[in-house]
Amino acid sequence: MGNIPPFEPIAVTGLGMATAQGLSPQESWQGITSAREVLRPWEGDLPQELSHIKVAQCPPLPRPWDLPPRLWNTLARTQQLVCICADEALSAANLPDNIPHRFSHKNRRAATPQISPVGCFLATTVCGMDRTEGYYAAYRRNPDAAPLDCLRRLQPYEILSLLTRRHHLTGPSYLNLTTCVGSAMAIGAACDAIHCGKIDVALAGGVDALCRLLISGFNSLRVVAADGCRPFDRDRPGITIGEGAALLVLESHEHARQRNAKPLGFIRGFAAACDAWHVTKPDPEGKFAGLAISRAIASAGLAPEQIDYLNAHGTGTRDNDAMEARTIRRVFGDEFEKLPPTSSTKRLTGHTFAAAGAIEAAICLQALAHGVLPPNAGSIEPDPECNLPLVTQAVTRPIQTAVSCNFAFGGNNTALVFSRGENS
Amino acid sequence: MKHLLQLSGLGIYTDQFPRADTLAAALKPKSPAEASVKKHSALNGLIPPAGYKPSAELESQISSCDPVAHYAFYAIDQALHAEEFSSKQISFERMALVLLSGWGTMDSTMAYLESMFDADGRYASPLSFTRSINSSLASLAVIHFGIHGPCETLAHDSWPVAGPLERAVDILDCDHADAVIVCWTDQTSPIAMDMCRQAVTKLHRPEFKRFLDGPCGYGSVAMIFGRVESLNTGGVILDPQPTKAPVTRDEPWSMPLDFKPFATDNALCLAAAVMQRILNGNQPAPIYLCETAHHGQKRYLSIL
Repeated sequence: MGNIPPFEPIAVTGLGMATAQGLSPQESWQGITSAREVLRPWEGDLPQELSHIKVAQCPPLPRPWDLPPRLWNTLARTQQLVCICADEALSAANLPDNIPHRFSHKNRRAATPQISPVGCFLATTVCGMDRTEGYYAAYRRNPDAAPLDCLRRLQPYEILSLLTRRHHLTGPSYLNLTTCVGSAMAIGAACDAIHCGKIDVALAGGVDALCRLLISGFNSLRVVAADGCRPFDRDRPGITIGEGAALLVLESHEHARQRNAKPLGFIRGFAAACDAWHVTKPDPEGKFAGLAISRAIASAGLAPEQIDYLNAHGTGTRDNDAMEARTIRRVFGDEFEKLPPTSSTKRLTGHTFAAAGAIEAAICLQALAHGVLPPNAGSIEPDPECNLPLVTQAVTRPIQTAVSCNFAFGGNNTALVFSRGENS
Repeated sequence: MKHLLQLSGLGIYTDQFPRADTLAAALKPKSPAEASVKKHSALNGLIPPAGYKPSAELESQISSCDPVAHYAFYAIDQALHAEEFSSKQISFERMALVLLSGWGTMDSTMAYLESMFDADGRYASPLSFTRSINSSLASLAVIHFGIHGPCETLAHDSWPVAGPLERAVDILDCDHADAVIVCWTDQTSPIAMDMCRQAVTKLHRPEFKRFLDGPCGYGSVAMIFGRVESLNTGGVILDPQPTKAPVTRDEPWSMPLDFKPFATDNALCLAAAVMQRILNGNQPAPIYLCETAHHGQKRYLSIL
């Protein structure tokens, strides 16, 4: 692997999270640790053949007080989800007044050299597709009578624009569309921008929302489990489609320390590598997935045996789970006792695509903060070929370090390393 | 040397300029006396050699891909054939790809929506679905070229040129890779153009007006960047303005980059400015580009 440059710890000082389990980090965490079953058929418009598929849908989204109904009702669902999460994350971070955001007293002032700009690093896959679908269905009937509000949500950058305008985030902005690793990459990119000294604070994460294209598309690939996914199970039938968002407020360690912020945890390492193997399938050997995990752990200055918990990508497809288990055993050692306790939380949140990396980062941070390992829900009979130490039910165990892995279409692989303290 | 990018390869494939040298030819000084051999040899090192043709393997690979993937493949292939890049012998495990597109695989998305709405989706096309995924373009490119470093598909954000260049700087500075290919690619889409027509006429969105002004172009621009080890190494060095630094300088020569629906339009302006910088080698002043986002904020880029 060569020399891996050290990764300066990045403090996570705020967290917003919306999943099928709840619209706050606390609600989501409670649902995840109690393995609450929330899967149900989608409430949106689907043809008969798809209407039985159970998905992980978020509860009804409350409208923020400052967004009038005439605007809120025309937003894409991804935009609504990030608004809720950004409010939660920035409010929790309690950023000082010299940082412009909508919870500070100086939020209406233009950025000046004295004011630190906040970067915004987001990821999405479906963008405003729920609105575009509606537009296109009407457009097919009569192009001139299609609802134009939907057109406003057509471009992916609209998600970013709404967030940066609403929260006065004047630093660098970044929108990643690399599907299931998108938000892990967005978090990594935010850390890089902080490391390079461009910014001190960033809002980073991802969002995806249910739409007909997503459900129909994955069904056309024949990878959807109609009754819910069973990660690492012998008879795993496929993925559960979900929606959600998570946003993290990231700060340079120095910045957080100077303002006496209490970090929820730290990001200690990040790496990405690409299989260059197949557009939809992972390389069965997982060579570059393993490289991403190893590099991330090494950049944190840790050894594999120092990792206390691993949140697996664990989509519940035959190909992903087999590759991932093989990769984990190669990185952490083939002896069962050496492997870190592992769980995939996708049965509980659904596979939220571009949001998955950020949601699972939030799960790792809460596992570190609460000293509880979340369960690998859905698996009835673990696949002996995977042979992983799966967390069958939530376990109370103080942990210091955690790794989250994500893999995506096109053989994109990422890994993030977290710790409870800056030097854990 | 932090926050600077050294250009080591350039590829262009657009409806107007099918190769990088065709853009260079359009920019060349009219009088032969003005052109120095040295200047042109510097440019020649950054673009594919004379007589370059895509390989038969590349041609056969792209025959089954979307048009927008063709453009990206052609441009990346040219950049990888540049002598300057070849001489560096960088491992493809240490190479990253940052791909940016305004409309991405719009045609495939529309094709999938058609198949989804037809017959209640009974014949929804998995191929169109796979291609409709924004990152499928970059995935095809890394598979074809064997790139194993980070591969990021970015959306057309406020600064389609400065944004991905700043990301390339971070990737290199944080040692995620030793070289970064930044590729901008776009295609025309009849339905997208019609939607833009409606956006201009009914929603008063002037940034889409370009679509009404004339025929739309298509294409791709690819650039390979490495770290700047020393300012004395020569070559073309790009300096995307760090966000924190206040911009106070007076630009001796500036090229405005206005927000356009196609990211590739702005990237083509950057490529032209880079070539201009080399062709005007005896002019000591750098070229400054100013990129204005649709909300009015600016980013500055210097070509040193």
